[in-house]
Amino acid sequence: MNSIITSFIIVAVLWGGALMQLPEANAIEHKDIKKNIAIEEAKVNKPIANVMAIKDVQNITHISGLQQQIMLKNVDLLWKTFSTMSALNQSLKQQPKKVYVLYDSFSKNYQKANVTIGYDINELTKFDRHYSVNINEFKPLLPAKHFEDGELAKAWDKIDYNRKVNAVLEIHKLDKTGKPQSTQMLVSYK
Amino acid sequence: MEYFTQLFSPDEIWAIEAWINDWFFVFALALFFLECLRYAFKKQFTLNFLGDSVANFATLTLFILILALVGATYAGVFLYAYDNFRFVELPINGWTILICIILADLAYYWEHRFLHMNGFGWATHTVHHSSPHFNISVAYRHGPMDWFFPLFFYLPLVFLGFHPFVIFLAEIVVQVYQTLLHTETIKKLPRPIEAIFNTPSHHRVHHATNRQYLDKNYAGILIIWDRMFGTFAKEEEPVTYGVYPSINSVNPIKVFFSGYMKLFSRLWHAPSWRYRFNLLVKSPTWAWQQEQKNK
Repeated sequence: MNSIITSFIIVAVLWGGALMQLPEANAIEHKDIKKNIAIEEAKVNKPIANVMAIKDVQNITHISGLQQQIMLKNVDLLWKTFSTMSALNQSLKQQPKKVYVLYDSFSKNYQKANVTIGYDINELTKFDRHYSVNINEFKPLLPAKHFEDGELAKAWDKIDYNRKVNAVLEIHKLDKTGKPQSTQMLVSYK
Repeated sequence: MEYFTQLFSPDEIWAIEAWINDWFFVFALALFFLECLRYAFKKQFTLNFLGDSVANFATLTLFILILALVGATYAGVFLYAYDNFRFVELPINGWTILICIILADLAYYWEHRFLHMNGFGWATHTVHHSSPHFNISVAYRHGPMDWFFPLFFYLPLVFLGFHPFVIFLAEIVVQVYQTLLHTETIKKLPRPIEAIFNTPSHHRVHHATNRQYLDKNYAGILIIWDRMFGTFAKEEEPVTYGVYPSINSVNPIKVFFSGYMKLFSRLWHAPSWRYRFNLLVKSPTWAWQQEQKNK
């Protein structure tokens, strides 16, 4: 019997170790949306990690999804993981209208960033934590229209790296089948 | 450190798993060939050794045929449980894989111990133990229900949020490590390794019929589980391999079904339903002791 209890303790400790990753790579838990909104409304004026200062409440978008500190060249992997997050996708009220990609907390050489891919929480029935973005703080890099991958990559060259970059935001508008219709790219400086 | 946080897609994990599965078998065959050369050099390469080894690979073929029938269902149960009953969704990265391997190794320990502790489980696992030899080919000597029992021991990992493909990968890593232990070529490894990891020496003990070695060393990768849970024995006197009673056959069909044939025969001739129930849930040693009493 002691062996079994010891085994459960070992499992709990190791699982705890695995769970410690969750604030970084934001795993989605099912929680009551009303409870979540109440909690998050209370937090809305507090700076959450990697969240822009909030000036105009009307222009704040709350994104929930997947977040990971990652090399920018590996963002494709984050997209793959995002597309297989069945809990998140099952929480969608209907076909999502937009997907947001937020890059912030850049490394000095801009090779690495904190990348968040997610949906507006208004499109979800359930979500765990979310990341608030004040779109008023951003300046456009690319207008909202259809771009090829190469054009999106080139938009990064338009960023003024002499100024300290706070965040880059991609807003992918989706059609009724969930395919990208247009992409808008924005930047915010510190 | 970055390697541990880099994300993988489930498809990539599946590809790694398939790669290990395919290439490790080739590697194991090469090792087996070297073992054969060693036995030939020592003039221990007998006709029985050859027949037994052929039987081992034949049981593998039969096992793969069964797996082809039930494999999709097995994977389906994991995927269904993951989609519907997981508590959290862990990211698929190096840390998660490493933790999953350690937990899968602990699950392997308990599954293995379970197989030795009841008649129903032992009926399939006895096939693996029934060889009087000990070489890489014995690792591939499977029983007909070897696919069934792991389900119950690894499935809880799904509820903890490990993706099924990560769990399958962890299962394969444990199996691959276990396979390499089936050899007489390596005597003892350096002390720190023998203290922490399962080694050929520890696993020879597990396959022994020597009284002091019975029901010892269930570990997969880490021998620390046996040390912690009081089932460890050190290899001291030479090991005699096999099972009681020995099956004395290299016929693959007879070998493959030997455990369940024996169990069904015991059930058929059992004096009462209570005895039948005990045959299924009590250890094979209990059944053997009852038979000795009745002689």
